[in-house]
Amino acid sequence: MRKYRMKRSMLIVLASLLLVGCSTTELEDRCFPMLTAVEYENGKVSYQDAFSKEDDTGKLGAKERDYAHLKVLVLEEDLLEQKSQYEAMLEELAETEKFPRNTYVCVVDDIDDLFEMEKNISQDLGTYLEEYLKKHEEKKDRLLTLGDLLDEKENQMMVLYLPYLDVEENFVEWKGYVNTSGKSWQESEIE
Amino acid sequence: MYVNNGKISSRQTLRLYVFDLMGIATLLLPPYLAKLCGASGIYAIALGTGAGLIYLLYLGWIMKKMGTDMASFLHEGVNVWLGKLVFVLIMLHSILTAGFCAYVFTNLMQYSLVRDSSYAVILLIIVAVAAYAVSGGIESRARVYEVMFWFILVPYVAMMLASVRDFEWVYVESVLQFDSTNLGKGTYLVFLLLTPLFFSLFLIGEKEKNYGRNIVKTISVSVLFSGVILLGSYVLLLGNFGAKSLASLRFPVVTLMSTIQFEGNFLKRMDALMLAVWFFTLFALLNLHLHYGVRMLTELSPKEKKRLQWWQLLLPTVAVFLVAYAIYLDRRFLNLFLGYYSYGAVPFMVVVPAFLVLVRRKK
Repeated sequence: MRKYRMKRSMLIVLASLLLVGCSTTELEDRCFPMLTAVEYENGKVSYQDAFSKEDDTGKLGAKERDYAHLKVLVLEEDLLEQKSQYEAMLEELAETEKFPRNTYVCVVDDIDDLFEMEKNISQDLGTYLEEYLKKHEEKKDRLLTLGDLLDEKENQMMVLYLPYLDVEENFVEWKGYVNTSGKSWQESEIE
Repeated sequence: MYVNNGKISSRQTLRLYVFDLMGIATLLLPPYLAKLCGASGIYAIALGTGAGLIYLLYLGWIMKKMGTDMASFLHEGVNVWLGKLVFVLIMLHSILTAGFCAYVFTNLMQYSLVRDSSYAVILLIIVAVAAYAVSGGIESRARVYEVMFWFILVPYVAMMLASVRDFEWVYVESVLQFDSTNLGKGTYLVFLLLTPLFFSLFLIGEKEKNYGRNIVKTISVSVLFSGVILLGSYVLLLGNFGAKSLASLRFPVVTLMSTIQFEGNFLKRMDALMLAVWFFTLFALLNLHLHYGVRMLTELSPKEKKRLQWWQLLLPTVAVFLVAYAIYLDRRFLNLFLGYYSYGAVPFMVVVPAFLVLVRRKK
């Protein structure tokens, strides 16, 4: 009797586990951006990634973006000069938690050049930039992550220096640093 | 070696209490402490832990005065109706607290693992598994936690130590500045989460000399151990996030785990594995309160049948589910619960044992 009851309870518990799958998005209905760039244009902040073009042309269909594997968040330099827009963006990212906090953050002059460069490299842009930044981190200070920016938005105790990258045809170059209020420094000035 | 109730050993008691105390404290306390006290929250943790130890000594004195465990004392030592009333109040407290634990546990699971899934279904599964664990008796759970103890704690400590890499001293520099009113509130908050200590009054069942001292000694180690873990975790959280950011996070310790980076395919996803720390510890706390909810109902029932009846398990389980779901649906219920816990539960757990000893029947 006791064995029967135990089996019955276990069966009910196991059966209820099946209900959990009802509302989840299947793997084939997701896409995984490895890099997201934040652009400031005509007074508006917009997000671009490798799937943006497909999205615009309707090729992406109903696929949902899953940012769990996001490696790098690239900010366009102009955005940092717009303090209120930059803070509103951080506010939104803190609230929605859509990007992982350990995503590396860097700054570029023009994000269009960055996506152009992707055509000339053998791997995806996110992995390429992550590896590049990590190599640099081994020699220099710790790189900043999105979590650092979100923390400092609240604490306001430190000045943060983000890596400033220059995009060439098929490689990037570390030019120096930009602080979060938009002022840039050459590497030698920081040292 | 063994606690005098003949059911669980001192080591199992110690480990059970560490699970009961450290899980919810490391998960929920840091943001509130950071908001109230900032870096000086470390004093609140030290003072709160000290208050917990004093409370434990007080319970030891109560055990000595009662001369038996609380359940037997309520049956034989005081007026029948007073005894029944206290059983009912403890049952209600246990169910409400178990409901809150189930609410936090379900929130954590949904937030960190299955965001798109139905809250009610996750809650139902958690409460059903908790009821199944309670039906197995306290000793079966104690055995599981005894085995899991170091499997949970060693990776936890390792992960916390790994977070030292991102520690910023500037965030803890204000450690010498504190406001005494907020420090007092923070201390009370720490003490609030030590209230499961009250249930140590039910742990023993035999009339032997020094049994109270034995239990007090064992659980004191749990309180100290949990206090040290909480203190270490708080300092690291503070140094990683800063007080203001820490105050704005929902489950900062889980966030911290997810930001620590390890190389290697398996270790890269250690954060997902580390959630097991809070799954096990919150489950232990939920079980503790559901167990006492069920036990109080059993104590109130006629004694013809010795075995646990199905309805004695089902009623508190359904009540726990409803409490948790009500808190989830309407925030006012959460505020009501927090109000009850802050102003009702603590005075009850401090005053009632002494009151019962004072009004005990003369032999």
